[in-house]
Amino acid sequence: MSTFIVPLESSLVRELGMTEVGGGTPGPAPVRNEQGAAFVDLLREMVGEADQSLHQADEMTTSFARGQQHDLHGTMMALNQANIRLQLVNETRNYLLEAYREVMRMTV
Amino acid sequence: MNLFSAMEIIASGLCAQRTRLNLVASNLANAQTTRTPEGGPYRRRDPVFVTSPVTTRFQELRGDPLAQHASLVDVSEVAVDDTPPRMVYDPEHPDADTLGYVQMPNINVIEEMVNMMTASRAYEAGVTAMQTVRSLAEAALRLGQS
Amino acid sequence: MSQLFESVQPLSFALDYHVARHNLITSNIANVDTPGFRPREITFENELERLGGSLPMQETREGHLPRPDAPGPGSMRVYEETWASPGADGNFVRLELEMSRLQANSVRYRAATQMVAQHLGMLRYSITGRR
Repeated sequence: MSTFIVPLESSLVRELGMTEVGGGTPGPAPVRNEQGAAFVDLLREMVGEADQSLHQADEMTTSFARGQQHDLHGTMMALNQANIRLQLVNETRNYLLEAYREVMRMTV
Repeated sequence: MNLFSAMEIIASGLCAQRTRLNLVASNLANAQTTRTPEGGPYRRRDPVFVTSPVTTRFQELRGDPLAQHASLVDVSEVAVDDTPPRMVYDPEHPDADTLGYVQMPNINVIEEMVNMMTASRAYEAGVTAMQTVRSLAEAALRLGQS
Repeated sequence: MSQLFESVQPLSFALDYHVARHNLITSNIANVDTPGFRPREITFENELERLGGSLPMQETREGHLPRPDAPGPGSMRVYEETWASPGADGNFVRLELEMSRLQANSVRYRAATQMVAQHLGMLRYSITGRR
């Protein structure tokens, strides 16, 4: 009976007369900080803000190029903010990737 | 308001002062002119300066409550001086009247020279102002470099 | 996360203020020969307190620029300045004063841009490890 060594197929559970006792959680619990905010939500917020500031910068540069507005330092600020937020997202992504790779490199 | 509206304001000042200089030059050149197409001696000309808010040239500033306080300057008209001409006794002059008096332009050369100096000074101030605006714009463009 | 650029907000306001002030100063200079013209000056709340309200100014119209996220400075106000003696044409502009203001304002704007650039540079460095 090799079914005890290889992973059990769910169709065999009923056949073998096994009963469910626990589990059913969707995955590991999200990491939360002191304020109760989950890391994944912070990430989502960060990406959203980067997207927003990119849109803003795009709008301002287009309207400046069209001669519809003439706010020089405002447009430059918007561009720089979008740039920095984008760098933040990118660096965070790099850190997360590296952390993932390190975990995958661990020999069990 | 923005730096370009400031440039517009300065440019309007430069234009107005140059108009003034031209009129002063005309007055000086015609200080002795006794015959004009409209008849009579040359009459002194003076620019009339008026303000207009910068929103007249920058549509998108109409929403800015501060923008109405920044004014351009304009020459609304050229005023012709109505003061009576100077009567100079010179019976030999071709335009002398029956009593031997000639109607000469009502132009005071000293006054015109003073006007020319103040107009030049105001013009130079405008040029300096334009340079400062340009340096502000260049500083804004360097915002991303530390 | 949206407080990422909070430290730059007062400087951003300062930039707007100095541009507005530059417009008013150039307007005063352009109208140095306009009959009856009164020069304009612009302040915001903190600065007015610092001056102790001692300048001979009278408020014309109020120009509000609400900035709820900026600490300190509130609305900007435009004033007409009627100094002691106008010229014969009723013009109150003193050209030398306006030129000095122009230079000072220019320096302050350029200083603010430098400070913003430094702030942004520090942010970038803290994020990427390079400038």
